[in-house]
Amino acid sequence: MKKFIFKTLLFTVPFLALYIITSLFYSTKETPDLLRLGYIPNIYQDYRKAFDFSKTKKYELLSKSKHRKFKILTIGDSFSEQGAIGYKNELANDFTVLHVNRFISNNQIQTLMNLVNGDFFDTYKIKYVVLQNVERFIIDNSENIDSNSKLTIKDIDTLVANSKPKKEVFKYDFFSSATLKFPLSSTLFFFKENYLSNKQVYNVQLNSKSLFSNNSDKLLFFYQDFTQTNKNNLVENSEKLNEILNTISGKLKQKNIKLIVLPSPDKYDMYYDYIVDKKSFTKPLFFENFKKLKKDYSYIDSKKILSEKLKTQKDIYFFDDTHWSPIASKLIANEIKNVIKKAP
Amino acid sequence: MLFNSINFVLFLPFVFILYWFIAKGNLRLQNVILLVSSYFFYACWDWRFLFLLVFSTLLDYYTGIKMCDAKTEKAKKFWFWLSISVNLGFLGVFKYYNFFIESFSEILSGVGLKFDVWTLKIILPVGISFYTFHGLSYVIDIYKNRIKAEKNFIDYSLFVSFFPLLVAGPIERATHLLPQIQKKRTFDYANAVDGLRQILWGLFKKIVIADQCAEYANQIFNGSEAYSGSDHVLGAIFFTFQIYGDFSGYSDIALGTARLFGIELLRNFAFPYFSRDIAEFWRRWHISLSTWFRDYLYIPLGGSKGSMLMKVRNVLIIFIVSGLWHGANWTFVVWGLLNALYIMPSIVLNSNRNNLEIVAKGKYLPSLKDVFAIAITFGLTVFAWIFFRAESLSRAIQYISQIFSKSLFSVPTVRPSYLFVLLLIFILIEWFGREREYAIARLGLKWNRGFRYAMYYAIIIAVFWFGGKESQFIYFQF
Repeated sequence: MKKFIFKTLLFTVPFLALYIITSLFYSTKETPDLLRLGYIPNIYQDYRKAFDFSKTKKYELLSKSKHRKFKILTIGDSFSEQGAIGYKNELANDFTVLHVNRFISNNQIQTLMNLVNGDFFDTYKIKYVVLQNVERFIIDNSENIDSNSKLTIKDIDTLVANSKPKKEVFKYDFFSSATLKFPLSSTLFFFKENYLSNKQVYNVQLNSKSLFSNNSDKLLFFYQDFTQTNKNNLVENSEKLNEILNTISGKLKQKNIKLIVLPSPDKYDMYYDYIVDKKSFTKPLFFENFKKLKKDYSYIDSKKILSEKLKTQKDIYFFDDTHWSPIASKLIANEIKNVIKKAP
Repeated sequence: MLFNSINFVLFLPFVFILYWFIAKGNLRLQNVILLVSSYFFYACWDWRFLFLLVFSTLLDYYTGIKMCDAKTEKAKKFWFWLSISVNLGFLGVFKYYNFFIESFSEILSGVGLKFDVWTLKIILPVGISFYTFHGLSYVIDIYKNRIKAEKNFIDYSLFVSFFPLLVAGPIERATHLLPQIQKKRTFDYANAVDGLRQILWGLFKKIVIADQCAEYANQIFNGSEAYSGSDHVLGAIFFTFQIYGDFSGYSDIALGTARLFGIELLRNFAFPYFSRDIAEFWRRWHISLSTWFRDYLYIPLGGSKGSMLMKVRNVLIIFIVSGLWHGANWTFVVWGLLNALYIMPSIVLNSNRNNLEIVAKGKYLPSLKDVFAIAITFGLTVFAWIFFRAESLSRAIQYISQIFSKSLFSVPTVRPSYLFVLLLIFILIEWFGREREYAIARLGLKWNRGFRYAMYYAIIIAVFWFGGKESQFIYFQF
C-alpha cells in the first residue's frame, strides 16, 4: 500500500501543486480579460475595487426593445458592451439610447450599412447613430463592404428569435492546459520584461508608475493591437474606411439621422509614448492619418481626448483589461453629448 | 460529478482512504462506505433523483425476495411482472413519454385526425437506463431461477448503484458483481496499479481524443451548408472517434476505478474499430449492453433458432430496441435499423461468428484481406453514426446528401493537422495493444523505469494540455 501511495503521489502531486497555484492566482472572470488570456497572475486583487460597477443599466437593447423612438442608436464591439459602466449608459442619463446587440452586428460597419439599406430606420425613429469600432479591427471591418445588402426588421426578428443567449462561461477546469501553462507564464511575469505571454498578451515596460492606480509600470495589451498596426497605418486604408463612412452618413442624412463615428484606441496606441523600449514596436498612426481626412459625419477623436487626460488621470484604461475604464467612458460620453448639443 | 473534474480527483482518494484505511478489511464497512459514496456521487448530479434510484432499488430488492418466497407460480409471476412494469414504466415516462405521444400525434395528423398533444417537461434522470437494466437483469435472473434473491439490502443496493458504473455503465449482472461485493477484498498492488493505468488511458481517450474530435465534429455537424462533401466525411469520422473515445474512455475510467477497490467490472469495449464485420463490431462495442440484449431479449425471443423469418424478426427487434434504448428519437431507431441491415446477411448466411478472435492475433500487421474487411466495416459504422449524431432524420439525410455532392472529392477545409497526428498515434497504440484488455495495459512494462515513467508523464501532460474543451460524456444523456 505504501508503495502504491508513493507512486500515485509521484504522478499526481506535481499536477495538484500546479493546480493549487493556478486556482489561487489565475483570473477566470470575463474581465480582466488580459490576465485571463495571457495567463498573468492576478496579483492586484483589490485593483478593481476602486471602480463603481454597481450602476443601473438605462439603455435598451434592440433584441428586447419595447419602444420605437430613441434619440441615439449605438452599434459597436466590446467597447460598446460594457453594460452599466459603458459610454452608452452614460449617454442614457440624458438621452434615450437603443443598442444593437453583438449577435446582430458581427461587423458593425457592414451591419449599419445593412440597416440603412433596409427598413430599420423607417420603423425605429432615431436622431443620432454612434458607430463605435476598436482601432485594431476598424480597417478589417471596412474591407469588402457590400453597399447594397439589406437587413430588414423581419430579418432582425428572425435573428432575435433564433438567438440562444449564450453566456460564455470562463471557467477553469482541473484537466486543462491552464494548469500547466499558467504557472509557467506567470513566473515569467515576475522575471521577464517586454515579452508576449501565452502568445496572446504583451507585457512591456513603461517609463511611468502613475498611469494605473496599482502603480504598476507594466503595460499589458492584446497582441492584435500590435499585429494590426502595419495594416492600420496605411493611409489608403484609412481613406477607404472614410469613404465608406461618408457613404453611410450620406444615406443616414437622407433619413435625417446624424452619424457619429467613434473609433476606440487600442490600449497599445494609447500608451505607446510611455513604452520604454520601442525598437521592436511600430508606432500606431491610424488616428494621425484619419483625423486629416474630410468627413461628412461627426468624428470623436477619442485618442486625443483620452491622451490629454492620461497625463493627469490614472486608469484611463484598465491595467488588467484591454478596454477603457468607466473614467474614459464618461469622457467619451461627454464628448458625444457635446456633439449632440452643438448640432443644429 | 464528472470523472474528468477536480471534484472526482478529490473524491476518489477520499473514498479510497476510507475504504482501505478506515474499513481495514471489514467487508460490511467497506460496502457501506462504497454505498454511501455512491449515493453521494449520484446526489452530486441531482439529489432529487436519488429518491428514484433508492425506490427502484427497494422495489427490485423486495420483489426479488417475494419471488423467491412465492409459494405458487402465479404469485411469482405477479411479483415479476410488477417489477418489470414499474421499471419499464419509469423508463417509459422519463425517457419515452414525449417521444411516443408526439409520434402518435404525427401519425394521427397524417391520416387527417387532430390530436392535442400533452407533453411534459421531463428531466431525464442521469443513469436511469443503466440502473434500470441492472434491476431488470436481477429480477429476470431470479424469475428464471438462475440466482437466489439477495437478502442483504446494502449488498444489493451497492450492486445497483456502485458509483463507477452508476451513470454510464457498464451494465452489470448480479451473477458477476454480487459475488464480488460479498467476498472479502484485500488490497492488491498490481491490480490497483493496473487500475490507475486504465484510468489514465480512459482520461486520454476522453480528453485528448474525444474532446478534440468533438470540436471539429460539432463544427461540421452544426455548420452544415458552409462545408464541402469531403468536410462532411471528415465530420462523420471525427464523430466516430469522438463517440469511441468518449464512451470507451468512460468505461476505462469506471473499470480502473472499480479495480482500486478490488472489484472487476465487465469489459465494455474490445477495440471495436478493428472489427472485420458488423457482427464482430457488435461483439466488441458496448459489450455489456449487447450481451444484455442477447441474454434477456434475443434468446428469450428464440434467438437464432427457428425459421429464417424468426431470426430476421429477432435481429430487427433487438437492434430497434437497442436504438431506442439510446434515446427517444427516430434517429436512434434508424441507426439501429441500419445496423440490423448490416448484420442481416451474416445472420442469413450463418457467418456471424466468423471472426471471434482479435484481428491478426500474435502478428504485427494485418493481412490485406483483414485491412479491406476492417475498412469496409469501419466505413459502414461511420455512415451509421451520422444518424446517431444528427438531431433529426431530415438533418441526417441532409448531411448524407451533402456528402454525396460534387465537393466530395475536394480538399477539406477543416484540416486540423495536429488532430490527424493525434489520431494516428492513438490508432497505433490501440493496434499494438489490441490483444490486451485496454491498449496500454502492457505498454512499457519491460522498459526501464525511467522510460516507462516518462511515458506516463507524457500521457498525463497530454491530458492536461488538451484538456478544458468539452467535458460532458455523451452517454450521460442515455
